Amino acid sequence: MGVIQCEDLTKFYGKIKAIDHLSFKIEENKITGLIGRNGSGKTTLLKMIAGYLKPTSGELNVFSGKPFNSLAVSANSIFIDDTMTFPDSLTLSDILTEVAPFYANWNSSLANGLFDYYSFNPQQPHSNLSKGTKSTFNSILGIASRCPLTILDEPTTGMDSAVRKDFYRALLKDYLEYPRTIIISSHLLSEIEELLEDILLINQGAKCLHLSVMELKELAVGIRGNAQVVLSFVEGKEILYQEDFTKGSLYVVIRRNLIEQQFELIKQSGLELFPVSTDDLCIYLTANTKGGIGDVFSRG
Amino acid sequence: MSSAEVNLLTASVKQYHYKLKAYTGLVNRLIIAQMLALVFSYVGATGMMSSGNDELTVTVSTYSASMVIVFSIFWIITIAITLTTKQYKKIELPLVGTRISGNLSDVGFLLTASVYAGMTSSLFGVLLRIIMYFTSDSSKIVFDEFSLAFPDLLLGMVVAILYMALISAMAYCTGVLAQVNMAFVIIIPVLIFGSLKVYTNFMQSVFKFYVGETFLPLFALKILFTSLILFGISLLLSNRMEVNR
Repeated sequence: MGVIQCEDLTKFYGKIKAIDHLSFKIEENKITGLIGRNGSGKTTLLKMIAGYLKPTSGELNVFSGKPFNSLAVSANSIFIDDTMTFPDSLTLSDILTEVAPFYANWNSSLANGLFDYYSFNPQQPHSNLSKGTKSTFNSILGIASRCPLTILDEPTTGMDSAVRKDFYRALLKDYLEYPRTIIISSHLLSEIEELLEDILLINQGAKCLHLSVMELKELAVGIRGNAQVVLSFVEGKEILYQEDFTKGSLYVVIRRNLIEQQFELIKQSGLELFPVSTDDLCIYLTANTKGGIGDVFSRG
Repeated sequence: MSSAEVNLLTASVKQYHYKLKAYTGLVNRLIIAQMLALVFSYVGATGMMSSGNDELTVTVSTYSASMVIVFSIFWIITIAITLTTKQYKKIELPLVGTRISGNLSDVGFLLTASVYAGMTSSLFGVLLRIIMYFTSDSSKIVFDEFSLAFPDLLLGMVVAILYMALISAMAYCTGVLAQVNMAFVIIIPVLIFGSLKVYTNFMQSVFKFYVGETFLPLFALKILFTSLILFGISLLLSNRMEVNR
Protein backbone atom coordinates (compact mmCIF):
# COMPACT_ATOMS: atom_id res chain seq x y z
CA MET A 1 0.00 0.00 0.00
CA GLY A 2 1.57 3.24 -1.12
CA VAL A 3 1.04 6.16 1.21
CA ILE A 4 2.26 8.65 -1.34
CA GLN A 5 1.79 8.11 -5.04
CA CYS A 6 3.06 10.66 -7.42
CA GLU A 7 2.73 10.52 -11.20
CA ASP A 8 4.21 13.02 -13.61
CA LEU A 9 4.03 15.74 -10.94
CA THR A 10 5.01 19.24 -12.07
CA LYS A 11 5.04 22.50 -10.14
CA PHE A 12 5.68 25.95 -11.52
CA TYR A 13 6.24 29.13 -9.52
CA GLY A 14 5.19 31.58 -12.19
CA LYS A 15 7.55 30.69 -15.01
CA ILE A 16 10.09 28.89 -12.88
CA LYS A 17 9.85 25.13 -12.84
CA ALA A 18 10.37 23.77 -9.34
CA ILE A 19 9.27 20.15 -9.83
CA ASP A 20 9.70 18.53 -13.21
CA HIS A 21 7.59 15.48 -14.16
CA LEU A 22 8.33 13.62 -10.97
CA SER A 23 6.97 10.09 -10.44
CA PHE A 24 7.54 7.93 -7.40
CA LYS A 25 5.75 5.92 -4.75
CA ILE A 26 6.44 5.80 -1.04
CA GLU A 27 5.38 2.69 0.85
CA GLU A 28 3.70 2.66 4.22
CA ASN A 29 5.81 2.64 7.39
CA LYS A 30 9.14 3.33 5.71
CA ILE A 31 11.63 6.00 6.55
CA THR A 32 12.58 7.71 3.31
CA GLY A 33 15.34 10.26 2.95
CA LEU A 34 14.65 13.03 0.47
CA ILE A 35 18.05 14.14 -0.73
CA GLY A 36 18.94 16.87 -3.16
CA ARG A 37 21.04 19.95 -3.64
CA ASN A 38 19.96 23.40 -2.51
CA GLY A 39 17.05 24.54 -4.66
CA SER A 40 16.40 21.11 -6.10
CA GLY A 41 12.73 21.23 -5.09
CA LYS A 42 12.76 19.21 -1.86
CA THR A 43 10.73 21.68 0.18
CA THR A 44 8.30 22.34 -2.69
CA LEU A 45 7.67 18.61 -3.01
CA LEU A 46 7.15 18.18 0.72
CA LYS A 47 4.79 21.15 0.90
CA MET A 48 2.73 19.69 -1.93
CA ILE A 49 2.56 16.38 -0.06
CA ALA A 50 1.50 18.22 3.10
CA GLY A 51 -1.23 20.00 1.14
CA TYR A 52 0.15 23.52 1.44
CA LEU A 53 0.86 23.94 -2.25
CA LYS A 54 -1.15 22.92 -5.27
CA PRO A 55 0.51 20.88 -8.03
CA THR A 56 0.52 22.62 -11.41
CA SER A 57 -0.05 19.35 -13.25
CA GLY A 58 0.21 15.61 -12.73
CA GLU A 59 -1.19 13.31 -10.09
CA LEU A 60 -0.33 13.41 -6.42
CA ASN A 61 -2.15 11.14 -4.01
CA VAL A 62 -1.57 10.96 -0.27
CA PHE A 63 -3.61 8.32 1.60
CA SER A 64 -5.36 7.81 -1.78
CA GLY A 65 -6.66 11.39 -1.92
CA LYS A 66 -5.49 14.72 -3.23
CA PRO A 67 -3.58 16.41 -0.42
CA PHE A 68 -4.13 20.08 -1.31
CA ASN A 69 -6.30 21.68 1.36
CA SER A 70 -7.49 18.24 2.47
CA LEU A 71 -8.70 17.69 6.00
CA ALA A 72 -7.97 13.96 5.93
CA VAL A 73 -4.35 14.54 4.93
CA SER A 74 -3.99 17.32 7.47
CA ALA A 75 -5.34 15.09 10.24
CA ASN A 76 -2.95 12.28 9.39
CA SER A 77 0.21 14.19 8.67
CA ILE A 78 2.47 16.77 10.23
CA PHE A 79 4.96 19.00 8.47
CA ILE A 80 7.92 20.07 10.56
CA ASP A 81 10.40 22.70 9.41
CA ASP A 82 12.28 25.60 10.92
CA THR A 83 9.72 28.23 9.90
CA MET A 84 6.89 26.89 12.10
CA THR A 85 5.19 29.79 13.85
CA PHE A 86 3.53 29.85 17.24
CA PRO A 87 1.86 32.85 18.84
CA ASP A 88 3.82 34.72 21.47
CA SER A 89 0.95 34.48 23.95
CA LEU A 90 1.71 30.78 24.30
CA THR A 91 4.70 29.54 26.24
CA LEU A 92 6.56 26.43 25.14
CA SER A 93 4.68 24.23 27.60
CA ASP A 94 1.39 25.84 26.49
CA ILE A 95 2.19 24.92 22.90
CA LEU A 96 2.64 21.26 23.80
CA THR A 97 -0.70 21.16 25.62
CA GLU A 98 -2.58 23.22 23.03
CA VAL A 99 -1.33 21.35 19.97
CA ALA A 100 -1.97 17.93 21.53
CA PRO A 101 -5.79 17.81 21.02
CA PHE A 102 -5.32 18.19 17.27
CA TYR A 103 -3.45 14.93 16.88
CA ALA A 104 -5.23 11.66 17.59
CA ASN A 105 -2.05 9.71 18.38
CA TRP A 106 -0.33 12.42 20.43
CA ASN A 107 1.92 10.95 23.11
CA SER A 108 2.13 13.56 25.83
CA SER A 109 4.41 11.60 28.14
CA LEU A 110 6.90 11.31 25.29
CA ALA A 111 6.53 15.01 24.48
CA ASN A 112 7.08 16.02 28.10
CA GLY A 113 9.93 13.55 28.47
CA LEU A 114 11.79 14.98 25.50
CA PHE A 115 10.94 18.52 26.63
CA ASP A 116 12.53 17.89 30.02
CA TYR A 117 15.46 16.01 28.53
CA TYR A 118 16.44 18.98 26.38
CA SER A 119 15.87 21.22 29.45
CA PHE A 120 13.67 23.81 27.79
CA ASN A 121 12.39 26.69 29.88
CA PRO A 122 8.62 26.03 29.96
CA GLN A 123 7.83 29.76 30.29
CA GLN A 124 9.72 30.87 27.18
CA PRO A 125 7.85 31.93 24.03
CA HIS A 126 8.70 30.05 20.84
CA SER A 127 9.93 33.11 18.96
CA ASN A 128 12.71 33.70 21.50
CA LEU A 129 14.39 30.37 20.82
CA SER A 130 17.64 30.20 18.93
CA LYS A 131 17.75 28.50 15.54
CA GLY A 132 18.98 25.20 16.94
CA THR A 133 16.66 25.08 19.94
CA LYS A 134 13.72 26.00 17.70
CA SER A 135 14.50 23.00 15.51
CA THR A 136 14.86 20.84 18.62
CA PHE A 137 11.47 21.96 19.94
CA ASN A 138 9.80 21.44 16.56
CA SER A 139 11.27 17.97 16.36
CA ILE A 140 9.52 17.11 19.63
CA LEU A 141 6.20 17.99 17.95
CA GLY A 142 7.17 15.85 14.97
CA ILE A 143 7.97 12.80 17.06
CA ALA A 144 5.26 13.08 19.72
CA SER A 145 2.42 13.69 17.25
CA ARG A 146 2.95 10.16 15.89
CA CYS A 147 1.25 11.05 12.65
CA PRO A 148 0.86 8.24 10.10
CA LEU A 149 2.75 10.54 7.75
CA THR A 150 5.50 12.56 9.39
CA ILE A 151 7.29 15.04 7.14
CA LEU A 152 10.52 16.48 8.47
CA ASP A 153 11.99 19.19 6.27
CA GLU A 154 15.59 19.81 7.28
CA PRO A 155 14.73 19.02 10.90
CA THR A 156 18.28 19.41 12.17
CA THR A 157 18.90 22.98 10.96
CA GLY A 158 21.08 24.69 13.54
CA MET A 159 21.22 21.74 15.96
CA ASP A 160 24.61 20.93 17.40
CA SER A 161 25.95 17.45 16.77
CA ALA A 162 25.03 16.13 20.24
CA VAL A 163 21.41 17.18 19.82
CA ARG A 164 21.34 15.83 16.25
CA LYS A 165 22.46 12.41 17.48
CA ASP A 166 19.84 12.47 20.24
CA PHE A 167 17.19 13.45 17.72
CA TYR A 168 18.10 10.59 15.35
CA ARG A 169 18.00 8.10 18.23
CA ALA A 170 14.71 9.43 19.56
CA LEU A 171 13.15 9.30 16.11
CA LEU A 172 14.34 5.76 15.48
CA LYS A 173 13.30 4.50 18.92
CA ASP A 174 9.82 5.92 18.62
CA TYR A 175 9.52 4.69 15.04
CA LEU A 176 10.33 1.15 16.17
CA GLU A 177 7.74 1.39 18.90
CA TYR A 178 5.15 3.04 16.69
CA PRO A 179 5.90 2.50 13.00
CA ARG A 180 4.76 5.21 10.61
CA THR A 181 5.73 6.71 7.28
CA ILE A 182 8.47 9.26 7.71
CA ILE A 183 10.01 11.48 5.06
CA ILE A 184 13.08 13.34 6.15
CA SER A 185 14.91 15.79 3.96
CA SER A 186 18.46 16.60 4.86
CA HIS A 187 21.84 17.62 3.56
CA LEU A 188 23.61 15.41 6.05
CA LEU A 189 23.10 12.07 4.34
CA SER A 190 26.15 10.52 6.00
CA GLU A 191 24.51 11.19 9.39
CA ILE A 192 21.05 9.94 8.60
CA GLU A 193 21.77 6.99 6.33
CA GLU A 194 21.75 4.65 9.36
CA LEU A 195 18.19 5.78 9.99
CA LEU A 196 16.89 5.49 6.44
CA GLU A 197 15.49 2.57 4.53
CA ASP A 198 15.01 4.29 1.18
CA ILE A 199 16.56 7.26 -0.48
CA LEU A 200 14.81 9.47 -3.00
CA LEU A 201 17.35 11.63 -4.74
CA ILE A 202 16.04 14.55 -6.74
CA ASN A 203 17.95 16.96 -8.91
CA GLN A 204 16.53 20.16 -10.40
CA GLY A 205 13.01 19.00 -9.65
CA ALA A 206 13.35 15.65 -11.38
CA LYS A 207 13.89 12.21 -9.90
CA CYS A 208 17.46 11.07 -9.97
CA LEU A 209 17.00 7.75 -8.23
CA HIS A 210 14.81 6.02 -5.66
CA LEU A 211 16.59 3.09 -4.05
CA SER A 212 17.07 1.43 -0.73
CA VAL A 213 20.14 2.59 1.18
CA MET A 214 21.73 -0.85 0.73
CA GLU A 215 21.34 -0.65 -3.04
CA LEU A 216 22.71 2.87 -3.09
CA LYS A 217 25.80 1.79 -1.18
CA GLU A 218 26.42 -0.89 -3.79
CA LEU A 219 25.59 1.30 -6.75
CA ALA A 220 29.00 2.63 -7.62
CA VAL A 221 32.65 1.92 -7.18
CA GLY A 222 35.73 4.10 -7.22
CA ILE A 223 38.87 3.10 -9.11
CA ARG A 224 42.23 4.75 -8.58
CA GLY A 225 45.58 4.19 -10.22
CA ASN A 226 47.58 5.00 -13.32
CA ALA A 227 45.50 7.21 -15.59
CA GLN A 228 46.18 5.19 -18.75
CA VAL A 229 45.24 1.88 -17.15
CA VAL A 230 42.14 3.29 -15.48
CA LEU A 231 40.94 4.83 -18.71
CA SER A 232 41.44 1.56 -20.59
CA PHE A 233 38.89 -0.04 -18.30
CA VAL A 234 36.31 2.74 -18.25
CA GLU A 235 36.59 3.77 -21.90
CA GLY A 236 33.16 4.35 -23.40
CA LYS A 237 31.35 3.90 -20.10
CA GLU A 238 29.50 6.59 -18.18
CA ILE A 239 31.86 8.15 -15.66
CA LEU A 240 30.07 9.64 -12.65
CA TYR A 241 33.05 11.48 -11.28
CA GLN A 242 36.64 11.97 -12.28
CA GLU A 243 39.50 13.55 -10.39
CA ASP A 244 43.13 13.89 -11.47
CA PHE A 245 45.88 13.36 -8.96
CA THR A 246 49.56 14.09 -9.28
CA LYS A 247 51.99 11.78 -11.12
CA GLY A 248 49.46 10.70 -13.73
CA SER A 249 47.15 9.11 -11.17
CA LEU A 250 43.42 9.19 -11.79
CA TYR A 251 40.34 8.48 -9.66
CA VAL A 252 37.06 7.67 -11.35
CA VAL A 253 33.67 6.69 -10.00
CA ILE A 254 31.59 4.38 -12.17
CA ARG A 255 28.44 2.33 -11.77
CA ARG A 256 29.33 -1.07 -10.34
CA ASN A 257 27.23 -3.10 -12.77
CA LEU A 258 29.17 -1.68 -15.74
CA ILE A 259 32.45 -3.06 -14.54
CA GLU A 260 31.67 -5.87 -12.09
CA GLN A 261 32.95 -8.64 -14.39
CA GLN A 262 36.33 -6.98 -14.66
CA PHE A 263 37.04 -6.61 -10.92
CA GLU A 264 39.69 -9.36 -10.86
CA LEU A 265 41.37 -7.93 -13.91
CA ILE A 266 41.39 -4.44 -12.38
CA LYS A 267 42.98 -5.68 -9.19
CA GLN A 268 45.63 -7.57 -11.17
CA SER A 269 46.46 -4.42 -13.10
CA GLY A 270 47.53 -2.74 -9.87
CA LEU A 271 44.50 -0.45 -9.54
CA GLU A 272 42.73 0.15 -6.25
CA LEU A 273 38.98 -0.28 -5.81
CA PHE A 274 37.09 1.81 -3.25
CA PRO A 275 33.52 1.80 -2.04
CA VAL A 276 31.85 5.17 -2.60
CA SER A 277 30.02 6.74 0.33
CA THR A 278 26.35 7.47 -0.30
CA ASP A 279 26.94 11.11 0.52
CA ASP A 280 29.66 11.48 -2.13
CA LEU A 281 27.71 9.44 -4.63
CA CYS A 282 24.67 11.71 -4.30
CA ILE A 283 26.90 14.70 -4.90
CA TYR A 284 28.37 13.09 -8.01
CA LEU A 285 24.97 12.07 -9.33
CA THR A 286 23.56 15.56 -8.95
CA ALA A 287 26.62 17.43 -10.19
CA ASN A 288 26.18 19.68 -13.20
CA THR A 289 29.72 19.12 -14.41
CA LYS A 290 31.90 16.07 -14.11
CA GLY A 291 34.79 17.82 -12.37
CA GLY A 292 34.80 19.20 -8.84
CA ILE A 293 35.24 22.74 -7.62
CA GLY A 294 38.99 22.19 -8.02
CA ASP A 295 38.52 22.61 -11.76
CA VAL A 296 37.46 26.19 -11.24
CA PHE A 297 40.82 26.97 -9.70
CA SER A 298 42.96 24.85 -12.03
CA ARG A 299 41.65 26.62 -15.12
CA GLY A 300 43.71 29.62 -14.06
CA MET B 1 -2.83 2.47 8.49
CA SER B 2 -4.33 4.15 11.50
CA SER B 3 -6.31 6.92 9.93
CA ALA B 4 -7.63 9.70 12.10
CA GLU B 5 -11.14 10.78 11.13
CA VAL B 6 -11.82 14.43 11.70
CA ASN B 7 -14.75 16.49 10.55
CA LEU B 8 -14.58 20.10 9.56
CA LEU B 9 -16.60 21.41 12.48
CA THR B 10 -14.48 19.68 15.13
CA ALA B 11 -11.33 20.98 13.50
CA SER B 12 -12.77 24.52 13.36
CA VAL B 13 -13.89 24.43 16.99
CA LYS B 14 -10.47 23.17 18.10
CA GLN B 15 -8.77 25.92 16.13
CA TYR B 16 -11.16 28.46 17.64
CA HIS B 17 -10.23 27.37 21.15
CA TYR B 18 -6.55 27.50 20.24
CA LYS B 19 -6.95 31.00 18.84
CA LEU B 20 -8.82 32.27 21.89
CA LYS B 21 -5.77 31.37 23.98
CA ALA B 22 -3.23 32.32 21.36
CA TYR B 23 -4.47 35.80 20.56
CA THR B 24 -4.78 37.23 24.07
CA GLY B 25 -2.14 39.75 23.01
CA LEU B 26 -4.64 41.23 20.56
CA VAL B 27 -7.27 41.58 23.29
CA ASN B 28 -4.81 43.40 25.54
CA ARG B 29 -4.48 46.03 22.82
CA LEU B 30 -8.23 46.67 23.06
CA ILE B 31 -7.99 47.40 26.77
CA ILE B 32 -5.21 49.91 26.12
CA ALA B 33 -7.20 51.55 23.31
CA GLN B 34 -10.32 51.82 25.47
CA MET B 35 -8.40 53.27 28.41
CA LEU B 36 -6.87 55.89 26.14
CA ALA B 37 -10.29 56.73 24.73
CA LEU B 38 -11.69 57.05 28.23
CA VAL B 39 -8.96 59.51 29.17
CA PHE B 40 -9.66 61.54 26.06
CA SER B 41 -13.41 61.51 26.75
CA TYR B 42 -12.86 62.63 30.30
CA VAL B 43 -10.37 65.38 29.53
CA GLY B 44 -12.02 66.72 26.43
CA ALA B 45 -15.74 67.35 26.47
CA THR B 46 -17.26 66.47 23.11
CA GLY B 47 -19.48 69.53 23.03
CA MET B 48 -19.20 72.87 24.72
CA MET B 49 -21.84 75.52 24.54
CA SER B 50 -21.48 78.91 26.07
CA SER B 51 -23.90 81.80 26.19
CA GLY B 52 -24.58 84.74 28.39
CA ASN B 53 -25.04 88.44 28.79
CA ASP B 54 -23.32 91.00 30.98
CA GLU B 55 -24.58 89.56 34.23
CA LEU B 56 -24.66 85.84 33.57
CA THR B 57 -22.68 83.28 31.61
CA VAL B 58 -23.81 79.67 31.14
CA THR B 59 -21.39 77.03 29.90
CA VAL B 60 -22.64 73.53 29.09
CA SER B 61 -20.08 70.82 28.53
CA THR B 62 -21.23 67.53 27.06
CA TYR B 63 -19.28 64.39 27.77
CA SER B 64 -19.65 61.23 25.76
CA ALA B 65 -18.01 57.84 25.78
CA SER B 66 -18.61 57.37 22.06
CA MET B 67 -14.90 57.77 21.50
CA VAL B 68 -14.42 54.45 23.30
CA ILE B 69 -16.65 52.82 20.71
CA VAL B 70 -14.77 54.53 17.88
CA PHE B 71 -11.45 53.31 19.26
CA SER B 72 -12.87 49.81 19.68
CA ILE B 73 -13.97 49.89 16.05
CA PHE B 74 -10.45 50.82 15.00
CA TRP B 75 -9.20 47.94 17.10
CA ILE B 76 -11.53 45.40 15.49
CA ILE B 77 -10.50 46.63 12.03
CA THR B 78 -6.83 46.12 12.83
CA ILE B 79 -7.30 42.66 14.29
CA ALA B 80 -9.54 41.52 11.43
CA ILE B 81 -6.87 42.56 8.95
CA THR B 82 -4.08 41.13 11.12
CA LEU B 83 -5.78 37.73 11.13
CA THR B 84 -5.63 37.55 7.34
CA THR B 85 -1.90 38.27 7.12
CA LYS B 86 0.54 35.53 6.12
CA GLN B 87 2.19 35.71 9.53
CA TYR B 88 -1.06 34.85 11.31
CA LYS B 89 -2.13 32.30 8.71
CA LYS B 90 1.14 30.47 9.40
CA ILE B 91 0.02 29.96 12.99
CA GLU B 92 -2.66 27.59 11.65
CA LEU B 93 -0.18 25.37 9.84
CA PRO B 94 0.88 23.11 12.72
CA LEU B 95 -2.78 22.53 13.53
CA VAL B 96 -5.02 19.99 11.84
CA GLY B 97 -7.43 21.74 9.50
CA THR B 98 -8.02 23.26 6.11
CA ARG B 99 -8.33 26.78 4.82
CA ILE B 100 -12.06 26.55 5.61
CA SER B 101 -11.53 25.59 9.24
CA GLY B 102 -8.92 28.34 9.52
CA ASN B 103 -11.40 30.90 8.23
CA LEU B 104 -14.28 29.60 10.32
CA SER B 105 -12.18 29.80 13.47
CA ASP B 106 -11.14 33.33 12.48
CA VAL B 107 -14.80 34.27 12.08
CA GLY B 108 -15.53 32.73 15.47
CA PHE B 109 -12.71 34.69 17.02
CA LEU B 110 -13.84 37.94 15.39
CA LEU B 111 -17.44 37.48 16.53
CA THR B 112 -16.22 36.77 20.06
CA ALA B 113 -14.04 39.86 19.86
CA SER B 114 -17.05 41.88 18.62
CA VAL B 115 -19.16 40.75 21.55
CA TYR B 116 -16.36 41.53 23.97
CA ALA B 117 -15.55 44.90 22.46
CA GLY B 118 -19.22 45.86 22.09
CA MET B 119 -20.01 45.03 25.69
CA THR B 120 -16.96 46.63 27.23
CA SER B 121 -17.15 49.80 25.18
CA SER B 122 -20.79 50.26 26.19
CA LEU B 123 -19.87 49.70 29.82
CA PHE B 124 -17.23 52.39 29.51
CA GLY B 125 -20.13 54.82 29.08
CA VAL B 126 -21.25 53.85 32.57
CA LEU B 127 -17.71 54.09 33.89
CA LEU B 128 -17.36 57.61 32.48
CA ARG B 129 -20.56 58.64 34.25
CA ILE B 130 -19.30 57.26 37.54
CA ILE B 131 -15.97 59.04 37.17
CA MET B 132 -17.76 62.30 36.31
CA TYR B 133 -20.02 61.90 39.31
CA PHE B 134 -17.16 61.54 41.76
CA THR B 135 -14.71 63.97 40.25
CA SER B 136 -16.86 66.95 39.39
CA ASP B 137 -19.11 69.07 41.52
CA SER B 138 -22.31 67.02 41.50
CA SER B 139 -24.44 70.12 41.82
CA LYS B 140 -23.32 71.09 38.36
CA ILE B 141 -24.32 67.84 36.69
CA VAL B 142 -27.48 67.87 34.64
CA PHE B 143 -29.13 64.68 35.80
CA ASP B 144 -31.72 64.55 33.03
CA GLU B 145 -29.92 61.95 30.97
CA PHE B 146 -27.21 61.17 33.44
CA SER B 147 -28.46 57.85 34.69
CA LEU B 148 -28.52 55.23 32.01
CA ALA B 149 -31.52 52.95 32.09
CA PHE B 150 -30.65 49.28 31.90
CA PRO B 151 -32.73 48.59 28.75
CA ASP B 152 -30.93 51.47 27.04
CA LEU B 153 -27.56 50.10 28.09
CA LEU B 154 -28.53 46.68 26.76
CA LEU B 155 -29.74 48.13 23.48
CA GLY B 156 -26.50 50.09 23.16
CA MET B 157 -24.52 46.92 23.72
CA VAL B 158 -26.42 44.91 21.12
CA VAL B 159 -26.11 47.65 18.53
CA ALA B 160 -22.40 48.11 19.27
CA ILE B 161 -21.82 44.36 18.96
CA LEU B 162 -23.67 44.23 15.64
CA TYR B 163 -21.69 47.15 14.22
CA MET B 164 -18.44 45.54 15.37
CA ALA B 165 -19.44 42.30 13.66
CA LEU B 166 -20.25 44.08 10.39
CA ILE B 167 -17.08 46.13 10.45
CA SER B 168 -14.92 43.12 11.29
CA ALA B 169 -16.48 41.24 8.35
CA MET B 170 -15.70 44.17 6.05
CA ALA B 171 -12.14 44.43 7.31
CA TYR B 172 -11.59 40.67 7.12
CA CYS B 173 -12.83 40.58 3.55
CA THR B 174 -10.54 43.48 2.66
CA GLY B 175 -7.63 41.64 4.28
CA VAL B 176 -8.31 38.48 2.30
CA LEU B 177 -8.58 40.48 -0.94
CA ALA B 178 -5.25 42.09 -0.11
CA GLN B 179 -3.76 38.61 0.25
CA VAL B 180 -5.12 37.66 -3.17
CA ASN B 181 -3.56 40.74 -4.71
CA MET B 182 -1.80 43.63 -3.01
CA ALA B 183 -3.40 46.02 -5.51
CA PHE B 184 -6.66 45.75 -3.54
CA VAL B 185 -5.01 47.62 -0.68
CA ILE B 186 -5.20 50.68 -2.91
CA ILE B 187 -8.26 49.79 -4.97
CA ILE B 188 -10.69 49.29 -2.07
CA PRO B 189 -10.18 52.66 -0.31
CA VAL B 190 -10.21 54.40 -3.70
CA LEU B 191 -13.49 52.68 -4.58
CA ILE B 192 -15.07 53.59 -1.24
CA PHE B 193 -13.98 57.21 -1.22
CA GLY B 194 -14.51 57.58 -4.94
CA SER B 195 -18.09 56.35 -4.81
CA LEU B 196 -18.75 58.50 -1.75
CA LYS B 197 -17.81 61.48 -3.88
CA VAL B 198 -19.40 60.47 -7.18
CA TYR B 199 -22.43 58.40 -6.18
CA THR B 200 -23.27 60.40 -3.10
CA ASN B 201 -26.97 59.61 -3.23
CA PHE B 202 -26.46 55.91 -3.71
CA MET B 203 -23.91 55.71 -0.91
CA GLN B 204 -26.20 57.66 1.36
CA SER B 205 -29.02 55.23 0.75
CA VAL B 206 -26.67 52.31 1.43
CA PHE B 207 -25.65 54.05 4.64
CA LYS B 208 -29.27 54.69 5.52
CA PHE B 209 -30.15 51.07 4.85
CA TYR B 210 -28.13 50.12 7.92
CA VAL B 211 -27.90 53.21 10.12
CA GLY B 212 -31.46 54.40 9.44
CA GLU B 213 -33.04 51.14 10.55
CA THR B 214 -34.72 51.71 13.90
CA PHE B 215 -36.40 48.34 14.32
CA LEU B 216 -33.84 46.24 16.16
CA PRO B 217 -34.63 42.73 14.83
CA LEU B 218 -34.60 44.01 11.25
CA PHE B 219 -31.40 45.93 11.90
CA ALA B 220 -29.81 42.78 13.35
CA LEU B 221 -30.98 40.75 10.37
CA LYS B 222 -29.51 43.23 7.88
CA ILE B 223 -26.18 43.34 9.69
CA LEU B 224 -25.89 39.60 10.18
CA PHE B 225 -26.87 38.84 6.60
CA THR B 226 -24.32 41.30 5.22
CA SER B 227 -21.60 39.98 7.54
CA LEU B 228 -22.42 36.44 6.48
CA ILE B 229 -22.03 37.35 2.82
CA LEU B 230 -18.73 39.13 3.44
CA PHE B 231 -17.31 36.24 5.48
CA GLY B 232 -18.56 33.84 2.81
CA ILE B 233 -16.72 35.76 0.09
CA SER B 234 -13.55 35.74 2.20
CA LEU B 235 -13.88 32.01 2.71
CA LEU B 236 -14.34 31.25 -0.98
CA LEU B 237 -11.44 33.48 -1.94
CA SER B 238 -8.97 32.03 0.51
CA ASN B 239 -10.03 28.43 0.04
CA ARG B 240 -8.06 28.16 -3.18
CA MET B 241 -4.99 29.94 -1.92
CA GLU B 242 -1.70 28.21 -1.28
CA VAL B 243 -0.10 28.70 2.09
CA ASN B 244 3.45 29.00 3.30
CA ARG B 245 5.03 29.50 -0.08
